[in-house]
Formats: sequence, C-alpha cells, structure tokens
Amino acid sequence: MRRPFVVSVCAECGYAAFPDRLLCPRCGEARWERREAPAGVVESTARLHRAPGRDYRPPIEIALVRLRCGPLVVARAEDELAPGDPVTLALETGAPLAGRRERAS
Amino acid sequence: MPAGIVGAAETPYRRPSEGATLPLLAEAARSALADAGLRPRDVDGLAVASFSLAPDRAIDVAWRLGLRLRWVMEDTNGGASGLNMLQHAVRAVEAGDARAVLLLAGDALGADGFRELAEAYNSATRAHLAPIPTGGPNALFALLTRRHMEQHGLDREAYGHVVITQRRWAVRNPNAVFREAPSLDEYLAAPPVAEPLTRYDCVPIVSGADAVVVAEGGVVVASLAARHNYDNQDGDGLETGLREVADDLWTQAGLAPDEVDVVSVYDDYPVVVLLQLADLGLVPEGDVPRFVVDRLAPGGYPLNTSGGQLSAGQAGAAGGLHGLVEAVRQLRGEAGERQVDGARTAVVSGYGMVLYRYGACSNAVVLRRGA
Repeated sequence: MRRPFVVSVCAECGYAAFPDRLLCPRCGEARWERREAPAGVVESTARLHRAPGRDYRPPIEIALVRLRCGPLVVARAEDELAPGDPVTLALETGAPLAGRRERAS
Repeated sequence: MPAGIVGAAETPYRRPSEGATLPLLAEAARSALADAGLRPRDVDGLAVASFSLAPDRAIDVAWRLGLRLRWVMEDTNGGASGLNMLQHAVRAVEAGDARAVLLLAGDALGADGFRELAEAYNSATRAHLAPIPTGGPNALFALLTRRHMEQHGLDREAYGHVVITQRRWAVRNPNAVFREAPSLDEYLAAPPVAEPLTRYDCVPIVSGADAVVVAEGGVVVASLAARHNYDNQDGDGLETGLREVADDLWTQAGLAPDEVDVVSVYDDYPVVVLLQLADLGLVPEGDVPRFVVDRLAPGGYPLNTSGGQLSAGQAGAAGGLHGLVEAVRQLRGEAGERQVDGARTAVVSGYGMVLYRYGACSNAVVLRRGA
C-alpha cells in the first residue's frame, strides 16, 4: 500500500531525520513531529543485478535522493532516473519509491 | 612494558559451505596460542566477534575453550570489531586487568546466511532497505562509488587498480581464495553486480577465523584511535571517522604517514580502501587520481599484502582481524614470498556497521616491530 513519504522533524530546532532518531543529534531534544516530505532531487543511481543468494531479473534500479528538507534517502526508482532529476517520493511497506516529478508549467 | 601483540593466526579460509563457527574459532585460538608460546591456562581475557555465534556468546566460547577469565567481552561492530577488541584488550593489559587476552573473530556463513544477515542487519535496514529490495550492502557501495567517482573525477579504472594491486599480492599468498590478478581490461569487462561494481569489487564470502593474543611485549601498538557514528549518517559517506583521528594517530606513533612500511585498510569494497587511504593522510594532497596513477598503477604499493579480503575472502567478522594478522606477520618477517623488505611499521584500519547508507565505525592502529 502506497503512503506519502514522511520524515521526523525536531520540534525544537527543525532538524529533519530519516530514518528516525530518538534524541535530536543537533540539539538533544526528544520532541518530534511527523511531516510529509515527498520532494527531492536524484544525486546518484545504481542498477542492482545480484546480491548474495539473489539474482534480480530485471535489475532493480536504485536512486539516492536528496530531500528538499535535507536527508539523503535510498529509494527504488520507478522511472528511469538520472542525477539532477526532480523526484517525488512515496513509501510502500517501508520501501521509499522515487518517481520523476514533472516540472510545474 | 607496553601492551602488544604476542600471537597471531588465521585458519585457512574455506568455501562458505564448509566448517562451523565454534570449531573455526577454536582452531584459530589454538594456532594463535601456539604462536604466542602460551597455553589456554595462560589466557585470562577473551574477546569474541562473530555474526554466527548465536545462541552462544563469548562466555560460552570461554567455557568450550576451557578459559578461566578475569576479563570478557563480545564485540558486535562488524569490520571494526577486530580493532575495537584490540583497543579494549590493550587497555586491559595496560591497566593490569588481564595478562594475556585472546581476541577471536570468525564465521561460517554461507551465501544464504550472509543474505539473511544483510537483510536484517539492523532495524533501519529491515524497515527501509530490505523492502526495496537492496539485498545487502552492494547497492549502497555502488552509490558511494558513483559519488566518489564524481567528486574526484575518477573512472572505473581507479577501482580496478585497487583490485589489481591487491590481487598481485595475493598471487604470493597461498591462503588467498583468488590468486590471479585480472588485467585492467578484464576488470572493466566483468559482468555487473550493482553498477558500477562487478564481482571483482565484492568480497568472496568464506568460512574461517582469525585470532590475536595481546600481552606485554610483542609487536608494539604504537597508537590507536576510533570514531564511531562519526557524522550521524548525515554525510555522504566519503569521509570516514579516520579523517578526524589521523593526525593524533601518527603523532602518537611518532611517524609520518609516508614513512609507514605496510598498509592494511579494511577492504569490503575498493572505494572504502581509497576513502580510508585519503583519510589516513596516505594520499598526498588528497589527490586521489594522482595517487592511483603514481602509487597503485605501477604495482608494488604495500596495500593489503595478503591480497586483502577482496582476494583472500571475508570470513564474516574475521575481516576486522585479517588485516591486523597480516600486518603482524609482515612486521615479524613471516610473510614469506610477499614479505615487504625491512618492514618496521604498519597501519591497520577497521570500518564497519552500515547503519543506513555507509559504515559508521572507524578505527585504526599503528604498529611497530617489537624489540
């Protein structure tokens, strides 16, 4: 089931965390707010063919995405993506998915 | 007398389907104790690192080996476990808490066992990486390699030179799994595992164990340093914790980086080798492309002279001691055909525990040949 991509934001200092933390690494507080944060830009990609005990056919396309709010996220690329592409992230059973975000006209 | 390494041993690394964890740890223990001229009754400290020990723990290993202890620990820091155990053992001996500490690390993990371990490595992996799926760290280090290439203006040849340099050393290591060096063309033409990584860039999984004995005397631990969760995984992974500790590491050892004779850096992937070499100050002016051309491509650079894990194999948690054992052998003049002439000093690093995108644990020691 597809859900919006969310990060945790420190209520004290605004540090955005993905994956979640317990205490804010910047200010040490433990008050977090969940915030939808779907927008990002592709930083790099990798095409995964094999892992120990696994062959992926077709290969899995992996993208490293920089969220507008700060964190770097490892996602499965749903479109053919290249570094610099703006993307929208969603979550499916915990897996971040990245799809190309069309520019507003 | 300062604490040092008085015994070191490694079992032959076997195919992943062979061997079992406890017997492998026992085999390494016996060899290291024999090497140190000690018997089990002389050991009063034990440190163990293994991914496949459960449901047993370090204290079970103590019992099964007949060791009566004043000091015990189990280390769960992957490729940084070896040097983490060394750090604690050295301090224990210096403080008088133990006289002879046995460090053990090893695993018998098949490809399936490795996969299960990789997919459940920590809660972040289970929640956000395994469902993608990433199937383990290859995809993460493929991303890291891409970023490294971009930052330094490198092409795949650079990583090929790391692999080939190490394989050339492995040719002279009868215990290495891979003892042939590919040509650069063969390296570049290999089928991809996780682009841009191919099988040459990934460690062969083996079964085996390494052991080290820490006591007064032996190969001197001239300095050691560690940084763990260096940047809260907030960075891009191109800088390890070694960057912050390198100056102190060399200063305390009374050595400049370009004076060291033997280099054993943790090598789960070629990019991690290059990162650590730079962070340790071994890459002049941080110019990685120049370093590859000037120091690696011509051959003979004393990097991971066993061939490293990339050639010899990764026996799970033993990887963190593998480079240490090789460095000790070099400093004792016991490296046979791969002996670096006149080796008096060595630097060894550990790296491990990918929390989300890259390793969080980094440590390093500088060793000096004993008196």
